Parts: sequence; C-alpha cells; structure tokens
Amino acid sequence: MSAVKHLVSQMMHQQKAAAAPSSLPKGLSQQYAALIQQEVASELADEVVNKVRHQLSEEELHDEEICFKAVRRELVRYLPIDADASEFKPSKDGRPRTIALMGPTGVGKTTTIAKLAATFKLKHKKNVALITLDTYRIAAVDQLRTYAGIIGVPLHVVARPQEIQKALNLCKGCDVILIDTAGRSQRDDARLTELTAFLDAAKPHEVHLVLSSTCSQTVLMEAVQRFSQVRTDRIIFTKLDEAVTFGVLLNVLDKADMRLSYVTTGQEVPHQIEPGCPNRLADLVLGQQVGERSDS
Amino acid sequence: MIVDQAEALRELVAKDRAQDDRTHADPGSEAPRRATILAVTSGKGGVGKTSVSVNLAVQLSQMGRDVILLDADLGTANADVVCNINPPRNLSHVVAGRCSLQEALVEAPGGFRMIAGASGLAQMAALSEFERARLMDQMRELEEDADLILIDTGAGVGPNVLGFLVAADQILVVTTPEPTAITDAYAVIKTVCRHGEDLDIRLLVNMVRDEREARAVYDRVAGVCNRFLGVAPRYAGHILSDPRVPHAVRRRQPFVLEHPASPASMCMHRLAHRIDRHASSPRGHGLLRRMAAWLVG
Ligand SMILES: Nc1nc2c(ncn2[C@@H]2O[C@H](COP(=O)(O)OP(=O)(O)OP(=O)(O)O)[C@@H](O)[C@H]2O)c(=O)[nH]1
Ligand SMILES: Nc1ncnc2c1ncn2[C@@H]1O[C@H](COP(=O)(O)OP(=O)(O)OP(=O)(O)O)[C@@H](O)[C@H]1O
Ligand SMILES: [Mg+2]
Ligand SMILES: [Mg+2]
Repeated sequence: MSAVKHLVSQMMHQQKAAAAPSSLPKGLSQQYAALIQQEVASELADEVVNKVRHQLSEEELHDEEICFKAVRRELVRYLPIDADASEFKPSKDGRPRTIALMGPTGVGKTTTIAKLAATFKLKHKKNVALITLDTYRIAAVDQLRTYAGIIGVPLHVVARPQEIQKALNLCKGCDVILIDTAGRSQRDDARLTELTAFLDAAKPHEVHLVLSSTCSQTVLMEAVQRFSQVRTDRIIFTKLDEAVTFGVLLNVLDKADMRLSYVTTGQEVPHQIEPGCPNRLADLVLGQQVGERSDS
Repeated sequence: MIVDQAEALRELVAKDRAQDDRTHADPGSEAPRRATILAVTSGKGGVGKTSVSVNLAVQLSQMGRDVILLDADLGTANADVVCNINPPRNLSHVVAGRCSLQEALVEAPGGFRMIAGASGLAQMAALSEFERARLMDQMRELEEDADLILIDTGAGVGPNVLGFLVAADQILVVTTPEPTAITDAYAVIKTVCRHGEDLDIRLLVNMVRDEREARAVYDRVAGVCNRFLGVAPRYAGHILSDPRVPHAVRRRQPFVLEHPASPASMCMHRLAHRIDRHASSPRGHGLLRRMAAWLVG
C-alpha cells in the first residue's frame, strides 16, 4: 500500500501539478495547510511547497521540523524588505531625508508617523520635523499636534501644494521630515490627483503606502494599484495585532512587487512598530503568534 | 498603567528630557513684577476677540511692553493660526502636565509671546487638586515674567471662561452693532457681575461704520446694565469695519502689521494707548489669589 502511495506522489512530483495537501509528504503537507489557513494564495503556496519539495530528500520531507525551516526559508525570498528601515540613513542629496506616508482612510498613517517621529528623535537622536497635509479630516491636525507636542518636534500645517516649499524651507536644518497626508479612498480620483500635486511639490525621497493588514486582498490590491499611480516606493502594514491571517501580506507584496518597510502591531505609541523583518513575517505567515518576535 | 496610546511615549520623553535638563543653568533672580491681566471675551462668537487680542498684543509690544497672549479659547482656539505660527506645545499640553506654561511660550510676529490654545479642552472643568496647584504655580511665574497678559477667551461664559474673567484685572467685552451680539454681550456682563465684585469691565464695539454707531451701541448696553444690574461697563473704544482686517486674516498676519495705516489699525492704536495707561497702574490682588478662589470654589 505504501508503495502505491509513493508512486503516486512521485507522479505528482514529476508533473509539478498543483500539490494537493493529501498527496504531500506529511511534514510538508502540514506547512502547506498552515499556508492555506493563513490565506496565502494557493498558487503561491503551491509554488513555495513545490520548490521545497525539490530541495529536500524524501526522508527530509517527512521531518516536520526540517520542512518548517525549509518553507520558512523559501517564504523569506518572497518578502522583500527595505533595508533602510531599521536605522537612520541620511539622504544623498543633502536635503533632510523626506518621507511621506499615504494610504486609504483610517489605516493608521498618523499614528505611524508619530511612532516614526518618536523613534527617529528619541532612539536615533535625530532632528525631526513633521508636516501634515491633512487639513481635511476634523481634528487631524490636533491629533498630530498632540504627538508633536509630546515628542517636542515642530509641526507645519500645509493646506495647498504651493505652501509646501515654505514649510520645507523651515525644516532645512532637520535630519528627517515626515509628511502625513489625508486618508483617501482609492476610488476617489479627484483626491488622488490632489495628492499627486502635493507629492510633486514636496518631492519626498520615499513615499510609503500604508495598508491595514485587516483588509481583504481584493481591497488591498485595489489600493496598491490606485496609489501606485500616485507614487509608491514602500509598503507599511499596520494593525498586525488585529489581523486574523497573514497570507494576504505575502500575496500583496508578491503581486505588487514592492518592499516592506515597517509593520505596526498596536495602537501604543511609540513601541508598537517594527522594521519589516522577513523571518518574522514568514513566521506569521506560518501561523506563529504576533506578539512573539523570533530573532534568527 | 497605560492611560492612552501615548502614555509610553510620555514616559520616554520625560526620561529623555531629564537627561537634557542637567545642562540647564539656574535662572537669575530678578525683582518680581506683576503683569496686568486683560481678558478679552464676548457673548457671541466671531465678533473679533481673536483679532483684537492679537493686534493689541502687537501694538502694546511695539510700545515697549512685554506682552504675553494666552489663547484660552477652549472651543475654537486660533490665535496661532492668525499669526501663522505653529507652536509645538499649547495649553492642552500644559493642562495635561506635559510641559509648563513657560515652556509653551513662543515668539509671535510683532514681538509678543504667545501660549497657543487647544481646541476641545473640555476636561479643564475637571482638574484634579494636583493639576490645579500646578497650574496656579505656573500662572504666578508667568505673572512675574510680563507687563501684560492678554487672554483670548472663548465666546459665552462656560465655567472655564468665567475663571479667567473673574481673575483678570480688566475684562474687555467685544461686541458688534448686530442685535444678537449686543444681547449676548449683555448676558456675559450679567453673568460675570454675578460671580465677581469690583470688576473692571469695558465694552469694545467692533465692526462699526463710525464712532457714533459705537457710542449708540454702548449707550444701549450701558442703559440695560444700569437698569438690571445696577452697574455698567465702561466704554473701551471702537474699531471700524475694515475689509483689510479679513484680508490680513487670510494672509495670516496681524492687520496692524500688514496694513498699519488702515482705519482699523488707527482704532487699534488708540485702544492700545488707552489700555497701556491703565495697565501701568495695576491693582494689587494678583491673579493667583483670585484664580485660587475660582479653582477651589
Ligand atoms: N490595533 C491597532 N490599531 C492601530 C494601529 N495603528 C493605528 N491604529 C489605530 O487606528 C486608528 C486610526 O489611526 P490613524 O493614525 O488616525 O489613521 P489615519 O490613517 O491617519 O486616518 P485618516 O487620517 O483619517 O485617514 C486609531 O484608532 C489608531 O489608534 C495598529 O498597529 N494596531
Ligand atoms: N474691524 C473689523 N472689520 C472687518 N472684519 C473684521 C473686523 N474685526 C474682525 N473681523 C472679521 O471677523 C471675523 C471673526 O473675527 P475673530 O476670529 O477675531 O473673532 P472671534 O470673536 O475671535 O471669533 P471666535 O468666537 O470664533 O473665536 C474674522 O474673519 C475677521 O476678519
Ligand atoms: Mg491621519
Ligand atoms: Mg477667536
């Protein structure tokens, strides 16, 4: 009986067909199940699992531990990370390193700006200035001003693209400028055009698209697609603490072909932010807990 | 104990600041002086309190006075917006104990200093004992640090506004010739009179065609006050309606700086001189004592 099974699995192997969990060796099928449970796109899960299958010997494929490590290693390749995120790098052109955050409404842009500002100022001891372009949402300025006040960094409010140069001039002596923008629906063309005008005027070194990891893949992909037309250099995933599954993160980064700069894991400022770390994300995608951070 | 999402941040900053503080020098011991406190208020909103406060602050500092403007409009604070400045700290930080009043002071165009306001500070009414004591201490320090403290209060007389009013040496009630503004001005005067004795209340009539119109408005208010309250405010002056005022607001500049020769600036100039004369002979109470009465009572 086991000989038959073996034969079948070899046939599957040769065909490189979509691997069905039942036909996989035990060690690997468990990892496959984890990926599917985390809502990793089945094409992606198949691809990863098939690659691992090629790499490992038949014996190894039955060892759960070895399979886990191999899948994790493979996943990491699908998680391109922004290496600059974990430390402070000055810009090359002599201007303060200018970073803008944009994204759909309520995803956590402003909170993330506050976390970044505190990190740069208190951890890296850099001179930070904040600029907000959000004069649209009620109390948006107050929200950021509260943080700016606590951290002790200047905040400049800019209502029109023409005014942005003036604000940037005021920040000339800083090391980092963080720009907050108003949350925009990806369906709202007029607002996106406005955002483009602001960013054209601000000329940030980096534009990070902020996405909530609680959203469905369809919504996330739509956002990526529309905001990329404005400009997107990096992706930040927020609210990892509220996400049920993490496969979508992988799917989106893969499809969007974009680097991950930061993830945030809670409302508390400034601690609940981390530079994107492939191993950590791979662990999440394999169903490990959010809270525990495994280093290796 | 996490109180809000910024609690950890506050602790971190406090630690950071404690390290920096060791480099700070001791302030020299100057002879204490006591500032005159002038509260600018109104019954109706939008009658020009902020415009008056800011431009008065500019003119008085140009006359060589050391002026502090405290934006205590807890609903719609905007003196910082009118002056086009963006202070990192404001009154909400002071109330929350994140910084002192002194630390919240920033230079404003025209040479005065300002403590920016914060909108939505409803929790002012529910200060704890500790917060009260702290705020009073800081008020006293501020009093010794200026010739004149201007307070831009919110419209109407909530408990918070009232505290500033009865604590002031002089209350400038701003109105316009509009009937609703006039009746609301009367309402403010009435409430203030009920809560404090021996107050110096003056009526400033803004956005008038000419001085005659202002006098007529004053006469009406004074008449009603005399009849029903037994006292009447004094006449502070008038400010002509002038399109250059909203123009300057849009340019985010005090109009006495933007259009120094305009009719409204002339009126402002006269008002400033009149106030300066009174300001040089302050009454002896001290803000602290009267503030204490309000805070405890
Ligand atoms: N659970 C959780 N909540 C978060 C996280 N980051 C932000 N939030 C919360 O999400 C809510 C919205 O955050 P904001 O920072 O105001 O979002 P925003 O993108 O600036 O919103 P708009 O400016 O209105 O578009 C707030 O209640 C934050 O506390 C996170 O990592 N985890
Ligand atoms: N003398 C004047 N002539 C013309 N316009 C004026 C004059 N004084 C004030 N204004 C206009 O009236 C508007 C309201 O003024 P301001 O903001 O100073 O009022 P406020 O009493 O502080 O309002 P709030 O109650 O909202 O705090 C401003 O747009 C200002 O330009
Ligand atoms: Mg926001
Ligand atoms: Mg006002």
